[in-house]
Amino acid sequence: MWEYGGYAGKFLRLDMTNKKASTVPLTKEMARLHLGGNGFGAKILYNELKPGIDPLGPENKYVFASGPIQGTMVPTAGRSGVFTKSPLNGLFFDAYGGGSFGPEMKYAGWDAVIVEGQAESPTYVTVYDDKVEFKDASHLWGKYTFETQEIIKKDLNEPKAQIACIGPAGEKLVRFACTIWGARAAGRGGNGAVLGSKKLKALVIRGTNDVEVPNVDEFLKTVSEQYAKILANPGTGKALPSLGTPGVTTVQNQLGILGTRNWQTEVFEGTEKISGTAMRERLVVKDKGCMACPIYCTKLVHVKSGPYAGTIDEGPEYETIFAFGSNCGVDSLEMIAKADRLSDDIGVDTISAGAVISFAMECYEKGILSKEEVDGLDLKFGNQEALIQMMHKFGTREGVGDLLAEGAARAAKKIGKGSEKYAITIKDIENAGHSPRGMKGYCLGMATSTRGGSHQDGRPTGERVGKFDRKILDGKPEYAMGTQRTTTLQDSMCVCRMTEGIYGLTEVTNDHLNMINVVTGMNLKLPELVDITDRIWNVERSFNCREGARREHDVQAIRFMTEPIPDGPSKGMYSPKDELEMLKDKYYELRGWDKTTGIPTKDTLKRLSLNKQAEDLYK
Amino acid sequence: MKFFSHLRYATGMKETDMEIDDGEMLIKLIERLIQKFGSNFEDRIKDKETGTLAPFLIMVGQEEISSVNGDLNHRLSNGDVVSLLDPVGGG
Repeated sequence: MWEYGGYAGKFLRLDMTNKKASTVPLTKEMARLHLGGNGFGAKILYNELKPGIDPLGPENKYVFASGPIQGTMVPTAGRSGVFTKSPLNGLFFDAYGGGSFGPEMKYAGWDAVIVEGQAESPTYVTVYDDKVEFKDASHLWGKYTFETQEIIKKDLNEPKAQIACIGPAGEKLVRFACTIWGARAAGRGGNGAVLGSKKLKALVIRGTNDVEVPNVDEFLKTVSEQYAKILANPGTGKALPSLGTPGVTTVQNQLGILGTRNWQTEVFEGTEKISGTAMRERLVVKDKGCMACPIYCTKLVHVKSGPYAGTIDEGPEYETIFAFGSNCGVDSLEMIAKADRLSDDIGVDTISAGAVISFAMECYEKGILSKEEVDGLDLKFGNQEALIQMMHKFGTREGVGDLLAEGAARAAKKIGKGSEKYAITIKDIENAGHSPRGMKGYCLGMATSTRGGSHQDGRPTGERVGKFDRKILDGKPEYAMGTQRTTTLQDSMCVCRMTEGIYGLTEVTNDHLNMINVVTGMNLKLPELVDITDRIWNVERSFNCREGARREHDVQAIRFMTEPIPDGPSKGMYSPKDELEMLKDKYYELRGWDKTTGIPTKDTLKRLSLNKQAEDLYK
Repeated sequence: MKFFSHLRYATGMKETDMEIDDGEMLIKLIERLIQKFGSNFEDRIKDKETGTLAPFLIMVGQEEISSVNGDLNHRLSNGDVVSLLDPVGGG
């Protein structure tokens, strides 16, 4: 065992320019202060990237990282993350995927893989334990992600290898391209374009090492308790196994917070046709689980008839049903499954892809984009055929696909004519499928988050299930900070959001602590763990502040701050800017950030042992 | 009564009419639903380890009532539409 349990004890550095691999030892201090996952990603990128660099240039880096629990049977430890400077907004971005890529990386003996530089020609890299090889990927360039993985497995005779790869969208530098391993996506923020810029088509990993823990009996006891809790809980023991995340679709609509037609309203008349129940009855052929997970929330679907017959897809998840369904005015689950499968094949984030199309649909219906400007497509809400054609254009950047491949915020700037207010983005990241207008705490959590338009920092769950009143302002700065602490911790452990109701929804708990201690033997105390989450959050914040992000960037999409929800159960709700600014004052105070600038204060940074950040931000 | 998401599995229906005494408390209605639909329904709204209601929203008309910190003694009237939403995290 390394100094602590769970860790491999070293990082792999891949220099794509010179095709060289090297080893970076993991230090005890790094593990103890930054834990893993986003802690490693943020620390590495903060230290190694110069501010102002081009996200798609050779100076940017891309980090695959796991936490200490990956490779063990801690529930949902199959997850792992990727970290880079986002091509959508030039800020720190982290994205995560399930499956078993992260554990395999650990079995190969690596806690993280740092990809840097830029190859001259398409390349893929194989990592078999300590043996690393750079290989020609010319024959793979242009291939879809699933085909890429199949070819590599066959060529190498390695059917059990884990392969992270990009599709044509990553190669074409589509700014919301993603990374795919198996059929799971590290979806958001455009990380696939960063791999494309480095001409790294795929990273192949196979490992034979063990992951060790200090006391196996104690470990098994703690983990067994968590499995029992998961199975006893109605959400993780019944709801998610039955319907997966699509189960929330009808609930969102019933509350009047289901983004519809580019968020012009939040009630969708076709909800019953795209519900989790409808998907289960019509399309689901198999339930599937990630490594070390008893929930089995993934639904394998098969479209058996109609224009999309033959489509086989892992998913779609709720976010995808929102993005290609209600938000594009589409009530066909079959088309949504087709668009989801295409997203995985091409290698784009389903949330941003759907959001960019819904943005274009609103521009088209309002006469801002003409039929000629959208390549002759009748891009009205609900036009399924046009939507599928748009998806193909992302993979080729042909015609209007080239404009929209830049993401909604950049496209709006190019289009002009007032289209900016129809780009539903926060920090230039397209908004996920939860309503900032209809949930006050989530709204603040998102606005102040590192990732902007992602639902993974500010969280909707506490308000959606009624633990917190979604309509009131009282306590929402505390709620926003609490949920951000738990998401930060979950992302440093690399555990799945499905367990948030088990391990802790709005606070760091002894459940989190016990799992980390039983794996690592660090014997952390709860306040130390809270400090770890705050340290990671402040490194991410410092990265963004160093790039120029300030208080004025912690805002919502224009529509959410100016247009009340027009109808339905949440009619009249929105987030006026003065209300948001008032909540931010209190939030910054809780965080120890300067109220004028939004930068963490020097005292806050020093308290968290972030002396370099304090020096950089207060020169 | 309106059921959403996986509660439709436990009940086998999207909605149903329930006879109530005028002024019956909401918690009483939930207990009667558990009796009517059995353990498969109960396991979908209560934690099996703790025996307590999981957090979820109940709508009476347009009013939202939390299962964990709302007024479960809310008095129902004939004609009320009661919607049971879903105790699911994630997404």
